[in-house]
Amino acid sequence: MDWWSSSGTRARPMASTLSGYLGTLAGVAAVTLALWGARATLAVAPIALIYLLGVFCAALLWGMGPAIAGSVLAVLALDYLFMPPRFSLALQGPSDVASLAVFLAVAIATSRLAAHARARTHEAEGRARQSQALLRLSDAIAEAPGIDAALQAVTALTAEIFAVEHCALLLPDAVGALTVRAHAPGPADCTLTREEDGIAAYVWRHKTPVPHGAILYVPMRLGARSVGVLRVGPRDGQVLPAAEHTFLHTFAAAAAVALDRRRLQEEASQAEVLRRSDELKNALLGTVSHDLRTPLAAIKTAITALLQDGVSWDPAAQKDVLSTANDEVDRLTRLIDNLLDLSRIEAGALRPDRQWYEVGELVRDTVHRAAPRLQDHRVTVLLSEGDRALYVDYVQIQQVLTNLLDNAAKYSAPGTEIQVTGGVEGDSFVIRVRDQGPGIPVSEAERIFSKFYRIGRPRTGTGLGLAICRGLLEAHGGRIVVENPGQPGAVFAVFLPLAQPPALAASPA
Amino acid sequence: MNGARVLVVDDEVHILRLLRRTLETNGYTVEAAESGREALEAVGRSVPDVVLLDLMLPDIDGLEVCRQLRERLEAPIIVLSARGEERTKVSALDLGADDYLTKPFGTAELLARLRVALRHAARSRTGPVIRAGGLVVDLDRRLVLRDGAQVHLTPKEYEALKYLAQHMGRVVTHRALLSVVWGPEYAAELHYIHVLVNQLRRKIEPDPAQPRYILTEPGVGYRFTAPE
Repeated sequence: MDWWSSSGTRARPMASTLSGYLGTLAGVAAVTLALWGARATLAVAPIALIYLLGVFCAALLWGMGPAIAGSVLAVLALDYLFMPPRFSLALQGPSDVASLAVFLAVAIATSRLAAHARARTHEAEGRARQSQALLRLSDAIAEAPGIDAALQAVTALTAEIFAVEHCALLLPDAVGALTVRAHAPGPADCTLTREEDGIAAYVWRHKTPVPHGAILYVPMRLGARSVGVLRVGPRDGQVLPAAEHTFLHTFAAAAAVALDRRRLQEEASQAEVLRRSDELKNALLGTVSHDLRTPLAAIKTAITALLQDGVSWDPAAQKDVLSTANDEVDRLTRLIDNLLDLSRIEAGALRPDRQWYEVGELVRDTVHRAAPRLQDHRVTVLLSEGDRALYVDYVQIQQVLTNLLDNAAKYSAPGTEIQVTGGVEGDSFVIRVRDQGPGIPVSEAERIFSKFYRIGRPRTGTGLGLAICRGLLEAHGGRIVVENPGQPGAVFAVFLPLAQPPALAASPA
Repeated sequence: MNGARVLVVDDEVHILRLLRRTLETNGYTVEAAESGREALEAVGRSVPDVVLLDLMLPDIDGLEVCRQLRERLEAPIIVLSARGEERTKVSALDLGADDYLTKPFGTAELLARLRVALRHAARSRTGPVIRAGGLVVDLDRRLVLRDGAQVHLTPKEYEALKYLAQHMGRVVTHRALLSVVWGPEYAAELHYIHVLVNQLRRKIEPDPAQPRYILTEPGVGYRFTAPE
């Protein structure tokens, strides 16, 4: 079946034409009836003008065909009903003939003019609608958060603008087979039959639209090449009106252009990411190779010293050398753990294993475990609503707090106080770790959360702790900030989102 | 525990050599296995008193080895795992392992865990009265005394304490404790356990903020200990 001239295509224009003729007929009848009532008071000339007005209206409303039909009807009615002799089509002399001829000519001319104006208006409206649709398309593709969302936007807009039931977007996969990448409505989980695959491939190769039943396959062309194929299924098996076809092609081509631009942008930004990660790797290699080698060197020195032939160590010296090596092993372990954590965070592979925990238990347990390293400081813990339950990964949040406590101890003088406070603020539980150290300079307040950044002094850290804190908290939907940059006594605030813990089932205790 | 036989399962020959040396120096008899298959064969030949099992094995998944060893052995199993693998540890414990050690570990820690595991195995059925520091759990009379004074526990608190005390020195996973107290159908409701243990600590710990009896094993569970 030739889809372009199928009966369905014509069904709608025919229906509208028919209703135009019927409307005109009804209009002429109504005007005639009204004029018949007023025939005693009106001369033939105003009656003719009123008919002319009617023809003009018909032309505006229904176009030229109905208007011309109306003109002929009006001439007949004028002659038969209003011009003497009444109830006869006979005409009295050349002046009547001339009058009717002129009337008919004027009516037809008016019809043509009005119908033309009407068509122009329609065209303009159609063009405005189409430009608006194209504009929406390019906006939607440009603003979509990713390429998949952009593809989804194309199908959703196609479905909406062409009022079709479903629309699928097919792109070639890695091996060149066309696969559905987006579908409106709903997820792109539909697969095509072998026959449909064949049609899509044909459309892709030949860059020409092909109808298949009511379903239309339209190529998404970009110059001489195909980008993809749109598969459009109109509502109730109705075929898309012919007038929409041209626009659908334009629309598909515009989508191809916008998607291609989007792809180029993505590639450019990926290249940028790669470049930046390259820089990062270099920085990492620089810092890490130093930090890794230092403890290794110490361990090697210690062990080779003890392995020396013919040297007898006194037990105290031997123990001293070994405990140095032991400390260095711990340092190396910390560094490697941190590096692994950070790379897991960055790869998005460190998913919190969340459970409900009382925040008080978590904080106190953390302080308790860190105590050996906090010996030189006075640690005070003050929590309000410490029995609030938080939905967190215990180990990860413990690590955040441990890092903050270790930093506080490292950057403040022995004997000073480290305060841990906590409470509900808005929709977060906020835990603050405050030390009596020099504080964080304003210029550093943001940078300290980036990798390998260390504030001047102690060489004991890895420069990764705060970056890990930030990464872990972000994975929890929380955040960490320095609250008082530029002031003495750094205050680090950890914000953890509050959620409603599930109710305990009957008699939990 | 001198002379106790330890089966060490680890595919790193250097670690194996060091562990053998360390354990033999401390009076243990060591049998080594470099793969899951070797481990399963080894327990077919002779029954060890305790197993040290690395979960990263070249052939069979460590958890599977753990499960199969538990089917054939009564002996305690201590799994060795890397940091950040809490989920694996918990799975191993739920599959029947008795304890875990996070690599890298110190010798002192290793020997302490071995001692606890063997002591527990030696009297795998605890007597009717369990004592830990000033705390007494009398299983026959369902009584709990703290420094001689009776502590009033709810039935669920008592069940939790009883189970923890019966596994003194060993780690008990959240899930295991939950199944014992609430029943296995509640195994997903882990938050119950945290609430319950905190209530229990308020009643039995001298300072609930710094527990001495019921220690938290972060991300894994709890461990009941007798303070020295």
